[in-house]
Amino acid sequence: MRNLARAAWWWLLAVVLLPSAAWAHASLIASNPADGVLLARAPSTLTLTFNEPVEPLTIRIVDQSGASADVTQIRRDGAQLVLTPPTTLGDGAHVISWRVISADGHPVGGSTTFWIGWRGVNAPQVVRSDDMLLRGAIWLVRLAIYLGLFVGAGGAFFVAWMRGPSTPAMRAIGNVVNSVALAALALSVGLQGLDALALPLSSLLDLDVWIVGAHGSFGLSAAIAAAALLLALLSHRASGALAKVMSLGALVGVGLALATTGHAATASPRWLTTPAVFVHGVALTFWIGALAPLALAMRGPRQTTVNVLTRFSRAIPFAVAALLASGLLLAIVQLERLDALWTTSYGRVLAFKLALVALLLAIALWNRLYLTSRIERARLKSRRHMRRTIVAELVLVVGILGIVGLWRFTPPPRALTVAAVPFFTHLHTGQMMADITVSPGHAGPINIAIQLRTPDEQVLSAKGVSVTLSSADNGIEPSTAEAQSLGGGQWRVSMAAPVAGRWTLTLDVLISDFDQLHAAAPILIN
Amino acid sequence: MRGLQRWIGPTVATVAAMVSCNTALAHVTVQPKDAPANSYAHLVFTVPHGCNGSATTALRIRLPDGILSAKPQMKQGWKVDIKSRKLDAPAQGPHGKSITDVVEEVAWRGGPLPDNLYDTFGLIVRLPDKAGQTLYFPVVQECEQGVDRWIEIPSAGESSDKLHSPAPAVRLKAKQ
Repeated sequence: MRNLARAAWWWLLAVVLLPSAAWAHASLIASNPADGVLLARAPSTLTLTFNEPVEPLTIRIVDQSGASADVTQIRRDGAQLVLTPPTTLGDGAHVISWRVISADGHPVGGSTTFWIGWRGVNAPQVVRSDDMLLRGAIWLVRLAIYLGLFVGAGGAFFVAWMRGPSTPAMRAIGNVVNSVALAALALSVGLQGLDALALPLSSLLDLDVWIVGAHGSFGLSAAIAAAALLLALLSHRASGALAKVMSLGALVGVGLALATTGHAATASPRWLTTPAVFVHGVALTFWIGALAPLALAMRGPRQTTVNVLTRFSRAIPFAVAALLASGLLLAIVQLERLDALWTTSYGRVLAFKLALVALLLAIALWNRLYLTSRIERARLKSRRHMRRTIVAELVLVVGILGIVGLWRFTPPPRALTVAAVPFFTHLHTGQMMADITVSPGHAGPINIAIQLRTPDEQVLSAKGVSVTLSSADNGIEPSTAEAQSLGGGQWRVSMAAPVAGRWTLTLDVLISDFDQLHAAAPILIN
Repeated sequence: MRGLQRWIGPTVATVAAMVSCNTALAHVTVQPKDAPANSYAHLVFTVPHGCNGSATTALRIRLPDGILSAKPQMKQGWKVDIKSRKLDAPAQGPHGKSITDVVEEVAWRGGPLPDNLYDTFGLIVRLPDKAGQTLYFPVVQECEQGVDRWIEIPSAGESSDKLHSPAPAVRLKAKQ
């Protein structure tokens, strides 16, 4: 009996003396880089912060090719683990997959993903920040670039090839729009970086912002556009064949710059959409570029006016036909179905643009069929008339370009449904059914859409859905995110599956405070 | 021999303490783990820590079907809420009384119970006459920051050891 009492005292003492933190499983509170962030440059150290001191078991870094490297240089700093990657990390995705022992002796695992340089392959350029000031700046800068490309480079082409008037006024217009566009182009790289890193305008002076902005197709497109603008500027100072070559280069450059990046040029099938965007851009530049020189020609000698008008009238039907054909093709690819024209914000922007384009075409047709013949018949007043309608066309063009600039903020319906072939799977347990769509189905940032139903096909209402992704094949520990409800049993969450292969997706569906349903399914990522 | 005897007590106690610390006390648990069916039992729920370091402000327990009477412990600094529900059909109580309402949820609200201290919450229940079955008592632990739900129930053939946040469970054994 006395022995028993003594044992009890020893037990109590032992319980009290065991480390006080030993009562809970360890959990990760924060990481640096944080989960899902995009970095400009490879970090030299990584930190994992837990709620209590932990003992590392295995910590590895898996890159997007699936290659994994064990982290051996680990420094413990209180509840923090400071990791030094075994090699310098390259561009793309990196997963820190960790397994540690908490003070209570339980092994705990998890993973966190970050990106260097760029996020995903051909990830659609959709604005991530909600910063209205940044959005406004992006839109304004884009409008300035469009004006420089179409009015500036297009104007230079018209002057050189259609023998438009190379007046001081025309040169002044060219200088202004081209210079403003060049400045806007430089600024756009920084704004793109801010948007990608989800930083406010105040971080514009950060060098990393510019490095990220210049990455990938956006940087390439900006460089081509800058070259086109410079050629246009120089062609005003040259003459004859040199001016022709330079301005042709500028025109082709505009088409290439537009075809290098953006929603439309990267839509599938690319062999069709990329040339279509190029043709659309070149035809557009020819048309818009002609407007300013034509308006100025109305002031010059009558014979010059007539000659320029005749040449323009002969060429423009081809440009407009190419413009409409390529535009129609791109609209079909992007919209996928007609009702997207009014049910999606991308479609509404397109509908509004088309309305203005129809108005522009009507004015152009009036100019072509009515005013042009009157000018040829030497009616003095018609030239002033024509100048006014051309200026009106230019104003309308600015409006159209302003609307087109809004597309930067609206992903096309195509990108919303499928960016690539999605992975679909159906889960069925005794208490629930789930349709799970992972898009795109290839490695990178992914969107997971979940439709929950009861086994008898009714909508299953849930309080919360958490999604866990892991890949034992790739040695990647689980990572969990809370899905957002879209109503009607639909849930959505953005996560990362940066390595191709077999993954396990686990659903934990909270039905009430006390009831939870659990199901898991394999997911194949290409 | 006496020397050896002197050491048995402390050794057993230390091992017992370490074992009890290891997995069980990482979760919200119930004692005893098994109890005779068709009898009264004094269940004690242990809250060993907060939610990720945050202090506990409420403990809510949902009672499983078949428990016809329940009485929570009064605790200084905690307000007790008892939520009842009407039975679909009146049930026969242990003393021949007809029962129409049963306790569905018991909640203690107050504290806060800091993360570095533990506390226990008592509940006297009448266990049903279903020897061999396991009753699950899903627990929602609400904290100043965040919520921990101890509500996972193992599927058939699965051990609850593997679950991240298992619901406390009591196995019903045959009445002696």
